[in-house]
Amino acid sequence: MTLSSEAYRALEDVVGPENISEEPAILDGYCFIWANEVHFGDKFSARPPAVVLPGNTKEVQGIVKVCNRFNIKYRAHASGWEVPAISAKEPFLPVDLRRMNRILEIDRKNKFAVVEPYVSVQFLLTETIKQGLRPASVGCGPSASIIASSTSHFGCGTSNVSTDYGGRTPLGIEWVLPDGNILRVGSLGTDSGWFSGDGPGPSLRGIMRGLSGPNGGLGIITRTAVKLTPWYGPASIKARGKPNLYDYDVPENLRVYQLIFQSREHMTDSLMSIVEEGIAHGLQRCGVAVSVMLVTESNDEFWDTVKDSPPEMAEMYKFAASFMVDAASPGELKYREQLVEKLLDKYEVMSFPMDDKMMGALFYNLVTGQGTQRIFRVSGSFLSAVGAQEAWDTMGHISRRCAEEIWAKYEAAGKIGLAGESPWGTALGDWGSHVESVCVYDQLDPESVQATRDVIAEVDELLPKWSLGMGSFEGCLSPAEAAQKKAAPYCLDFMSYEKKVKKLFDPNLVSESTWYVTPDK
Amino acid sequence: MALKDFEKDMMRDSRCSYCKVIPHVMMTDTRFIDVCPSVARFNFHGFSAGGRMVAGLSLLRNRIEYTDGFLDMIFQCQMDGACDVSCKIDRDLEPLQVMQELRIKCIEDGQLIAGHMPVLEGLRKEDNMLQRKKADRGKWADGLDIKELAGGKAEVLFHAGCRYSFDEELWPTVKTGINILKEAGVDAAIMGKDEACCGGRAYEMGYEAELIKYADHNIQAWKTAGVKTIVTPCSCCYQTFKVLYDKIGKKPEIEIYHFTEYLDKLIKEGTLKLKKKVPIKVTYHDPCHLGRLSEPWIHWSGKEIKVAGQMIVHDPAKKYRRGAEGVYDIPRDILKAIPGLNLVEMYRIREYAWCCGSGGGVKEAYPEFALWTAAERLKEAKDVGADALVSACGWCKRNFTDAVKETGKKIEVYDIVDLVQEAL
Repeated sequence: MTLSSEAYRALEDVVGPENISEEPAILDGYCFIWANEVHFGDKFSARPPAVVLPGNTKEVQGIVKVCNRFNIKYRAHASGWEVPAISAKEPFLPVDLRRMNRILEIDRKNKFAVVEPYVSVQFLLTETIKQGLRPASVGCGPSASIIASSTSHFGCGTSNVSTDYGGRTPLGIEWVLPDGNILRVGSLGTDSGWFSGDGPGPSLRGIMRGLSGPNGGLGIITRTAVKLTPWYGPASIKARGKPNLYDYDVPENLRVYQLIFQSREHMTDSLMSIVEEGIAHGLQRCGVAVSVMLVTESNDEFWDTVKDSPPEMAEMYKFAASFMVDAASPGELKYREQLVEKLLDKYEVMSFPMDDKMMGALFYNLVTGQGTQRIFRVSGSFLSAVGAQEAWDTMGHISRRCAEEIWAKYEAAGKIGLAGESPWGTALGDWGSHVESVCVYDQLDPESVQATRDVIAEVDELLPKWSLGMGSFEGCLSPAEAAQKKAAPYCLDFMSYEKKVKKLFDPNLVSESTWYVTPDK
Repeated sequence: MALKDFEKDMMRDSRCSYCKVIPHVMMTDTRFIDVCPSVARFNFHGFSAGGRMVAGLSLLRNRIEYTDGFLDMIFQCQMDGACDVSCKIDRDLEPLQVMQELRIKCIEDGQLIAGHMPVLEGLRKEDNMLQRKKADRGKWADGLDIKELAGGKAEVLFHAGCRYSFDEELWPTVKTGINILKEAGVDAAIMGKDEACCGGRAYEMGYEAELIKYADHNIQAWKTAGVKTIVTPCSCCYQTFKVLYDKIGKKPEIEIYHFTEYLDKLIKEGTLKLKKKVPIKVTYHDPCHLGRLSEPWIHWSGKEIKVAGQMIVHDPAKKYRRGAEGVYDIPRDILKAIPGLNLVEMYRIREYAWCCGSGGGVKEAYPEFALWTAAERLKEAKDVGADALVSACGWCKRNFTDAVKETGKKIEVYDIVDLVQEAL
């Protein structure tokens, strides 16, 4: 796909000459992302014809109208870190929202913030904790865009037990539809402010994102209000020491635990009881090895630390979680600490002893999800071989079946690593849970890349058959509807409805849909 | 090492964009979280370290050809290394080395930057980066009663560097510096017209041969003169002598001091007494070459191996330069030792400090971008209520001074030596 000079000029008129480029070296920065080699067979997916950097909603709308006029496929991204942000089989025009980076409002009383797309979790957290509030964290870490994770992609993270996951946090939304019209969702649609996503005004949150988000395939969200949750820590998070192992002071109103469970069932029962009490600030299911990664400066140091551990230790720490409580006052903290102790006693849960370094690292990870980036360090790349939202008991069930019936043979073949039955997971605020089994692979080894493709295809095939959800991270990490097609026969052919929505909202099919759905011709 | 030796690093870039901002946990004010002047100014991903990693891979794979736009994308960068610090919070990659090798490859392939060419011509002809006559190099010391080496010997050498030697507005700083040494009883000499460039800035511009040439020349000259200690007020020279010469396998068997380190030594041993009050509210700007870039070089030779399935480790274990071992506390200690002086910190400091804008050949080839970068720092200094910005590098002072003139910002710019002089 190339842009005609007329189309280029039209886009240039919208954003100005400084904010559009068709320089090949610049464009290659918009078709290179982790895991491209798994999905598209190369580090580079299709090179875009140009890239644009709008500065406001009017410019976004202008770009979308030009795209409709000249039949140019476009897709917007914020940080551009998640795979669906910029990669595709066919070229499209990336709309880089980097210049839209403002917090427009923090409404302390009504506990919400209004943000533009490039505002990240850490960006918003930095300002909201000054007012005693915090946004939901996102699994891929503090650099994740608030808008992308709450309106366009799945978006769950370590603190979601208290904030709910990203998809449940948007209130009023400003949405540049695929055809260039602007729709203001919720109370914003009747000029009533940002406080509600469901009215007075149109309530279209389900269509806008559903469970997994359209990943850029349904227009561009330009402003959103998101819910905030009370923050009981100080006005800024203090780190000391040297990179990359900063020391964090755990605020006095928070307590961090590393819990070890005796079995899958023990873990499920214990965590359900803890979550039931409504005292958790953050909860992350993961093996103790992940905690060790947070306090070791490199793979070399990590390996040096764990290499002589007896194999039974890994087995012993297989069912583990890090957990944090917070409280508004010393009295409440005392109550919550006592409650945790009581629950741990009752369920005979081991609280893993930690030094200040590990406790601090877990604290920061539970607030922001910072630790996820270290997964890249292991082998250079990874993908989630399974990512599912289920009830608590089902979460353990998914991990077990995947480990026993899928992972085992791949791990035996030695081309990818899947961490057995120790996935990454978290609790969602609506009593659900999220589980992801991370597949680490070597992108420089074609056999390792192929094994990753194979394991994902197998998950896509088996998970719906098992009635345990959909593969490829509930479809949101699945290009060209691969996972959805496998799941559709088991799920009331939901795709036919998605395709109708897509056709209705995007009559010219210009909102690029590699990671969403495409209406049948 | 060459660009192709970093292919794995380029492949393993995840496009996380951590290189664009200060380490997340250090963010305290969202107006001041950018750490890369290049992407902050030009916005396209290609202007970040991550984007340049991608461009390096593209070049190796012949996906792209040299164009003016590509070269601007590579060279509109101060090579300040802040991206490297942020990247390495969670990754074991070498973005700064990739960018360095990318520049070297450009130059080897004959892709020269117009704004750099007169500077390089001047360097080759006159041994300095300011396109001035070599014969004038020692003029800054005219009238001072100091020993000038002319085939003679000295244990302590005061190396002024190109910027201080030829920038008349900065002469008071070096004059003060050498006088302080003299009054402290240090038998320091200068090389005068025989002093040569360190080669560091040319290396940053991609001219590796110049670094090797000047390393050989300087080390031989110091050896001949019996020099055991070098003291320099220039952060760029300091980093070149201490780190880059070591990097290319030419570590001099000489003690290298930045002037602040020597000052601190004199103050702490009581030789230098700061008595006079200097009632001013200042903020300290960490020069990149004195801070994160001056972390000692770590040599490593070995191989990658896989353990526990796919985990990449090194044999032998590899240590990474993460920017924390630069000179950060010493300048602050000096400022705190000045009576009456009030030191306030900016939001981006130490290993995650914002650059002054002049490094990497930007001041020479892209002066407007250099000034924009400095102006951003002046805003930050003003925001914390400072009346003056203090640095410890002539290149920083020059660029900040120019930015003050350009923007009309009401803020003083000092070299730390100037303030010490006021306190004596």
